[in-house]
Amino acid sequence: MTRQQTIELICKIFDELAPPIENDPSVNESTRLFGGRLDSVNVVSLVVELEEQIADHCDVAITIADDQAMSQQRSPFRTVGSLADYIQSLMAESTRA
Amino acid sequence: MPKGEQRVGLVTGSRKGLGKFIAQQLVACGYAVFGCSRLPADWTLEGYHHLEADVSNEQQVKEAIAQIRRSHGRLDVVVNNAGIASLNHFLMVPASTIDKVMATNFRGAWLVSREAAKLMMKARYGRIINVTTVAVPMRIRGEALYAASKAAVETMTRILAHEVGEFGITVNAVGPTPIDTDLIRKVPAASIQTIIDGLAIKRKGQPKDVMNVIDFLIRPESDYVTGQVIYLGGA
Repeated sequence: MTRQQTIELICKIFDELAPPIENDPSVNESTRLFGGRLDSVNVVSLVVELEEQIADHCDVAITIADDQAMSQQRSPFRTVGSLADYIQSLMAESTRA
Repeated sequence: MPKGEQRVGLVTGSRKGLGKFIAQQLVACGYAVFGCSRLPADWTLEGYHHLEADVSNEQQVKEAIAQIRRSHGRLDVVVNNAGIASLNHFLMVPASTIDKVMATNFRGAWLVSREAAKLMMKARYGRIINVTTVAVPMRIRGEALYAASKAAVETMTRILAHEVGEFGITVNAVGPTPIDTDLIRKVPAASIQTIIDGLAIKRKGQPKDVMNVIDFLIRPESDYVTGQVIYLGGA
């Protein structure tokens, strides 16, 4: 799964969890995960859905968990793009193992 | 019952003892039951599927839950029963034993609960039952490590209840008294008697005493009971 495909997957699940209303900007790489349309429960659901779809489609079991998850500055959960990067690194790590 | 409608349970440490009893009882209640242990089970039962998995191994836990998701698409009940005991004066406990006991009793319950909750939250329904011990409130000499590992499980139980409550998942714990299983086989009779003497009801526990509490906690009507630790015997 490429970085772009990962971003598209995140955006798709994002929209399913919190459908856009009228003037909401479309979700893209720079969309922040916390503080916008998603509440903390949505973010947890996003992570669960991502793990499941990646396991099913890529046959790679990753755990999207990080001690910095709640940090505003260093969290891989800052934006759609940073989460995609983090997922890419987890998948690469899992393939190497 | 068509696939998808049957309730599904997972019991860890189900190869023998209390876990085996709980797994068999859940099957009798109509559940499709998965059990797991590090070694294969030497018993079979229609409706029971044994998985070889070490609960302290993150990848093995993920694979076990993924297997349940793929075959049944749901998980209604988890009983975190897998546990190992340690009886020793705290001055005599090697560091390696601390790691081993905490890995199975605490890390294992954490990982299984975490992965199970991911499946449960999609259905907005789930019951997680952690097995603790009366050794926590009774402060028994020689059981510092075992009790500490279970105290960690109890704290986890209480906080998880808050973190997953909005997904329809309840998290509770049951604390048995000594039951005649391998877990207490090496515990001196005098130590067991000391525990029994400290109980309100002075006898050893039986697996059915634990199952009675589990029966109550997994009922759909018990959806308002969460974050609780229920000790048996009046400890």
